[in-house]
Amino acid sequence: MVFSSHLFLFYFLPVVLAVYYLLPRPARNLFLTLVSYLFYGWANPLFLILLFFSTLVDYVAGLMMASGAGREADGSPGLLAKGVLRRSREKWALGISLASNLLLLGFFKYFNFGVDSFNGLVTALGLEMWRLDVMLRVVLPLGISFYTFQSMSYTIDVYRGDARAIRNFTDFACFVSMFPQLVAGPIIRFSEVADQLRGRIETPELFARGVAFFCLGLAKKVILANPCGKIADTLFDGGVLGCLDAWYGVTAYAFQIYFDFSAYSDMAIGLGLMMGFIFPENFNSPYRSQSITEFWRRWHISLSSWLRDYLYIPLGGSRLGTRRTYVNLMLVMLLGGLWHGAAWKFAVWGGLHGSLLALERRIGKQSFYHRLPPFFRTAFTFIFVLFTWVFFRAADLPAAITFCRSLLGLGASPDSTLLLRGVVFKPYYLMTFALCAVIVWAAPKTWEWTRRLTWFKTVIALMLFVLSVILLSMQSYNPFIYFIF
Amino acid sequence: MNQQKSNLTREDEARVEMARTTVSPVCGAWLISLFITALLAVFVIQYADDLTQYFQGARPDAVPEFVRIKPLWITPGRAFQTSEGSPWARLTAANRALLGEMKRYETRLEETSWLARRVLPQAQYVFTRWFRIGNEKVYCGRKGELFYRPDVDFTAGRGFLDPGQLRSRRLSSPDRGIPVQPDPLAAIRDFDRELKAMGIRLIVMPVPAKPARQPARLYKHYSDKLPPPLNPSYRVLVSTLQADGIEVFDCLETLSKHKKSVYLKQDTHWLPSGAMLAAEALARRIRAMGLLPEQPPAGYTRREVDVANRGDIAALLRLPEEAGLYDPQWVELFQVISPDKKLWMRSERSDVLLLGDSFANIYSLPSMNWGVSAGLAEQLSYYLQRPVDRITFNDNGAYATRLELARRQTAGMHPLEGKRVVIWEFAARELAQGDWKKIPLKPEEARPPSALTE
Repeated sequence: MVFSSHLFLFYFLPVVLAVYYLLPRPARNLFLTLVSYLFYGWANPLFLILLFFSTLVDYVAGLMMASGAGREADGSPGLLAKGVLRRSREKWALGISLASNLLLLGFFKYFNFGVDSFNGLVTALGLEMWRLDVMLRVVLPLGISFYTFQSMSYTIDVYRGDARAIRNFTDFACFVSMFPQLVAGPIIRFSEVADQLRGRIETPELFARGVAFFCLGLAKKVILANPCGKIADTLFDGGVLGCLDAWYGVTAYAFQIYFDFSAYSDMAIGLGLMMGFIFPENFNSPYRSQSITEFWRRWHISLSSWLRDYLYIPLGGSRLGTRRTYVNLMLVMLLGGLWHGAAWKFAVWGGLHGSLLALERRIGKQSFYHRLPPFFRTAFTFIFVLFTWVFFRAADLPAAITFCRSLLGLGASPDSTLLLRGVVFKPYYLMTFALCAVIVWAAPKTWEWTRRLTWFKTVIALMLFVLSVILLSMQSYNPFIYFIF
Repeated sequence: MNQQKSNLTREDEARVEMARTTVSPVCGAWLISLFITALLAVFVIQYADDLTQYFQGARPDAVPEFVRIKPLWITPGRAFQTSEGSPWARLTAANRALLGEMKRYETRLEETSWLARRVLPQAQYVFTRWFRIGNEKVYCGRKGELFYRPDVDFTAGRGFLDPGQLRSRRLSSPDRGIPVQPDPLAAIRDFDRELKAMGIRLIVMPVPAKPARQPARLYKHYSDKLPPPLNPSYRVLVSTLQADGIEVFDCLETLSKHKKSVYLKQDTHWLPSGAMLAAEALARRIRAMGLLPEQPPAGYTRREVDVANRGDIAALLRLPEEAGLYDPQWVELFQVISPDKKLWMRSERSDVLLLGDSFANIYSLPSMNWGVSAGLAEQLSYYLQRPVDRITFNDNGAYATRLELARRQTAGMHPLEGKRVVIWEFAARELAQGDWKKIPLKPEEARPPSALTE
């Protein structure tokens, strides 16, 4: 189910909110879990088996680890002591949790990629008899990258002694499956919501701010991201383009992915607030960054901090020397790239970011153009990010290279692509494009805008909601970009 | 202070931020209640609308649409019981059935909603009228011209023979997991080989997409001096087929010679004059190739009729009835009359078979509302002065017509018996968007020319 769909907005959401507030507090997590399963199962009911399996394994693993940790005064499992060598039972429990989650992710996300890459390699080497003739095409379950990471963070935190294991299965299932952020993040860590699962306070202030978050998120998606997506789709599907068209296309994509994904995060945060959950910020005006290092502190913060805490630091982080730091950075970004999608173009995207991060690390976490005025630093960072988005968006690696050549004015575009100008340079798209630029670089972010809700802002939020619904009626199925990851 | 802030976890920061929320109780209450009201209003108005329709007799009962959820468990249950194989196979069959029902349920809710019926047309009107924006399938061109998005995507998109494009299409599996065969070359070669084995000559006739013939109606700076915009693989396909000895009738050349517009303004198809120009040139080519035995003219004549209709692309915009943005277009048809003074009829005994799609059907099929007896087969019959047989399907014609040939053969019919020429007409965009699976045909015998009279 998509937040920006008729079914969600006018049937699912009102019913869920009404029943949620009618139920007594102890029943609310169970209800949230059930409706989250309905929400998730709407994409494909069979995917529920995977979600439940992942939840069950991590729940049991958590309890296994906590069995040797003693009890709190209220009888709940205690924290494992930090800095103490773990027993084999704890190691086994963590191993089973990690293995099952990574196997799930590996099989469902990377099986086709692995087979295709292997076949491509043996064909290139002239060893066609080694080709794997596998008929099976594995379907990627929605949001598997998000909930496996979220679920794994729980067992890792328990193992490390950063979080207490949870005994209440319903609460844990609620944490893993919570519909506002289940399929496209933000990735919530157990330690961030453990207290809120046990007891949270729903207030009118939080609910009102949640409504404002939700309205702004919906507007970002429908009013800004979708038209930019139309520009980007048209131009990226257009083969060899002229230089101007290519820059217009990739910038439109940069706006699309930012407004699309941050819209989802805003709506998720808003829905969470309506039900008393407080989720951390996921985007902090990333295109205002003055270096790639800063960009990764502001873009998809829940993923970058997950990768930092559960991959980069365990690999040694920056503690094992300069060379190892660069290797770690590169490895984390390559894996981060592949986390987004099972294709070499994502690995290239991650590799490019990793290289730039390593380069900036070498000069003190600053961009190599840090002596320039701030405007130019931001501009150059944005241009680097645009180049990397080409690999993210293009259909495949050859198409990405063709697009990069167009950006550099090296491609000879056929006359047929001129037609696309008649489609994408319409005043409506140009106005939307300009509005996106203003919001990206000059407008307050959602967190700031909703901090103090005045009458004026109330009217604006509601007007945006109504306008979004009207526009929504004109748009057919428009899932969020991150749904496919 | 900074040090204190940096020690906060992201969760703490979020909590601190939320604690800073400032909203007056009255303002907050209004925001919440208006938001909830907006959500519920759609639901309530929808039910009021359903009730009104029920009392007007437009609905069989007063049950709200959203509670019609019975099929969500009945259909999967039935699928589980009736399907065969292992429990897992039955479960997946039930799951597929459930997915289908859920999709139908959601689509029904959307399409029957008052938002879609009342708000969408008005919003679309504003966007089309003031911003010249179409929708997911329609691009607004200049001077009241509309373009079908798949036509533009095909014309200006990546080459359909590009290996990457072929691969990505092969991986898309719309038909219950059966991958699409995206390469038209292989299918055309195969079809030609099968027909040649029966002594039949194939003429491949891709009909160009409207943007290829009228690019300046979409982008005003597209100069007349430039060649027509074509998909990068189009010329490659034509030259490859010709090098293989396969006859290609490229009607873009014919249509380009005509100065005036040959496409309907708000429709994907050609004008009657376009169909006639193509038929005339095709007949000339067939004669020049000497594929058919000489015979006296059959006596087909034509008469002029005027027809008006709204284009299929305009219909996709779903504008309000009274909008008046795109009025019906009047066209002059030349209906073909048989020697017996009746409207033209296909002849199964003809030695010419036309396999075609909606380009062949538009002025022939009554359901398309553009008149009858003036389609491509009729005009070809007129210019050849001999009967013509035809098999046509509006959608996915290149694939569906071959499938129909095979089906008729399986049913014991002989659709290719006595044929000398098969003309395979299809919209050029199918080269990039169609399914090009090979379809095996049974060999059929050619009949003597004497039997080929109507």
